[in-house]
Amino acid sequence: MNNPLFKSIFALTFIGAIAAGLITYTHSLTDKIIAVNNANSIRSAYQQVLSQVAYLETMPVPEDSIITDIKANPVNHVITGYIYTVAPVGYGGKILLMVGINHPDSTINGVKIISQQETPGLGSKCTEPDFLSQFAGKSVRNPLLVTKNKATLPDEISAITASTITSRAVVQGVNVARNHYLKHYANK
Amino acid sequence: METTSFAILFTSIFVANVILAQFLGICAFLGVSKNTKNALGMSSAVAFVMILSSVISWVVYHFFLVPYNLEYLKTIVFILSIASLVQLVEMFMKKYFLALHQSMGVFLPLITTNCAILGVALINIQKDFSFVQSIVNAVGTAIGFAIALILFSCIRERLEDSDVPKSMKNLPIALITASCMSIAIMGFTGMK
Amino acid sequence: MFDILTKGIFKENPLFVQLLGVCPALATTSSLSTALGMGAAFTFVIIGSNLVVSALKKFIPSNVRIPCYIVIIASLVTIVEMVMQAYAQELYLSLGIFIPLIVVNCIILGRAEAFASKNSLGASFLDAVGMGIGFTGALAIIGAFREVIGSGSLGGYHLNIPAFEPVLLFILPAGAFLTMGLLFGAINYLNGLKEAHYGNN
Repeated sequence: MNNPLFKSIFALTFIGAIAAGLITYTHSLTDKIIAVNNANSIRSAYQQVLSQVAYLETMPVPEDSIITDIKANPVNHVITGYIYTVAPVGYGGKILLMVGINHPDSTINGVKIISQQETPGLGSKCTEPDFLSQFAGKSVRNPLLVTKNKATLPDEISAITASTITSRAVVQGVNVARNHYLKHYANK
Repeated sequence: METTSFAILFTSIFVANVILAQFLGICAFLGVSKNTKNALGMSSAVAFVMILSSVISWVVYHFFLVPYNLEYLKTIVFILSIASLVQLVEMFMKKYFLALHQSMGVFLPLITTNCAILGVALINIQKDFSFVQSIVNAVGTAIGFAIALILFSCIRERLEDSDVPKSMKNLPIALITASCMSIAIMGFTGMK
Repeated sequence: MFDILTKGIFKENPLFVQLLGVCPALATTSSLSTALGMGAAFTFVIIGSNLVVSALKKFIPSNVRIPCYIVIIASLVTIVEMVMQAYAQELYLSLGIFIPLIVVNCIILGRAEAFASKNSLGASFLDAVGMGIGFTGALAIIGAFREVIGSGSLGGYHLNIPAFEPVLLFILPAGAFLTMGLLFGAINYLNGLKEAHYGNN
C-alpha cells in the first residue's frame, strides 16, 4: 500500500475517474439545452428571412456548391418561399448565411448571417441591418453587384466601408442562392 | 469546396499568423525574444512539438473520441496527450540526443503551457481538417511562429541599444514593436 | 487574511505585475463584454481549481502533482465551456477557442502549485478570488479602452462623442499590442513617479 508508484497511479486514476464522471454528468445536463438552443436559433433565423414560416420541407442540395441546405415553405400546399443556407468564404473564413426568397414573385425577402469570423468592427458589420436590409425586396432576376459607393442602380448593394471582401462574399452567397432558385424553382 | 493545402499553408504562415493575428503563444514570444539564439531554439522546439501533437491529437480525436461520441472530452484529452508527449520527448532527447537536448531542452517544459500548441490542435478539429491538412496547418503555424519570433528577437536586440524613454524600456516598447509587426502582417489578409 | 485577497488585485496582479495570461488579455479584449466574459470564466476556473487542489493536497503525491493539477483544471474548463454554450451561447461564440485555452493559462497552474497546494481551503479561496478580480479588472480596463477608442461604444452602447471618429486599429490585433504596450508604459511611469517621490522624502 505504501509503494509510491502504486500511490501515484492510484491518485491519478482516482482524480481522472472523478473528473470524467463530473464532465459526463454536466454534459448530460447541458447537452439538451444546447441542442434546443441551436434548434431555436435556426428556427428564429428562418422566421427572420421569410414570413409565414410553417412546416419546412427539405429540398435536394446540389453537390459541389456552397449551398448547404435548401428549405421550401409550403402554406396550404402552395409554396410561398424558399430558404437557402449558403457558406461563402469571407475574409476570416466561411460566412454562414440564410437567404429567404419569396415565391412566386421571385424577390428576396431577407438575408441573415448565422455565423461569421470576420474582423471585429469591420467585416463583422455584415450582421447589422444597415448592410443586410439592402437585400430585402431585390428581384432575383438579375445578379447583384457590389459597389464601393452609394448604391444607385436597383441591382447594386453598397459595400461595408473597408470590408469589400466580406461584402462580396455575402453577395456571392446570395447570388448562388438566386441562380439556383432561378434554374430550379422560379418557373414552377 | 476543398481548401487546398497551399492555401492552408499560406494562411497559417502569414494571414492568420499565430502570434501576430491570433495571439497564441505570446508568453513565449515575449519571454524568449531577447536574443536571437534563444528565439531559434524555442521556435525549433515549438515546431517539433506542434507537428507531433497535431498528429497525435487528430488520431486520438478521430479514432477514440468520435466513435464513442466523446467529442466534449477533447480539451482534457488533448492537454494530457501534449503534456505526456513533451515529457516523452524530453526523456528521449536526454538519453539519445544530448547535444540537441542542451540547445532545445530548456524550452521543452515551457511548451506544455504554450497555448499555440493546444490552440493548433483545437483549430484543426474546429476547421474540420483532414489528417494531411492538419499536418500542413501545423507546419505552417510553426513556420509562422518561427518567422515572427526570430524577426522580433532581431528587432529587440537592436532596441537594447536605442534610446527609449525610461518607462517604455523593455516590455512596453516590445509590445509596440509587435503592434507594428501586426500591422505589417495585415497586408497579407485577403490573399488566399 | 484580507491581504491574501487584495494582493491579487494590486500588489501581485497576475497581468500587470506578474505578466501572466497575456494571450487572453490580448485576444479577448476587443470589447468590454467579451473581456468580462473571459474574466468570469477565468475566475470560476481558478476558484474551482484552488479549492480542489487545496482540498486534495494531502492525497496528491508530489511526483505526479502537475498531471493531477492539469486534469483538475482541464475538467473545470470543460464544464465551464459546456455551461457557457448552454446558457450564454453568444458569449461562447465570441470567445471561441480561448475558452478551452484557459487550460494553459499559466496563472491557474501557477496558483495551484505556488499557493493552493500549501495553504488551507479558506486561504486558497481568497487567493483565487483576488486573482480572479485582479485579472478580470485588468481585462476590463483594456477591453473598455479598446472598445471606446476603437468602436466608439462601451458595453455595446454607442457613445455619442462629438467630433470623434473611432480608430478602428484599436479593435484589430495590432491595437491589442499597442494598448498593452502603452498601458505597461504608463504603469512603469507611475511606478517611477512613486519611487522618485519616496526617494526625495
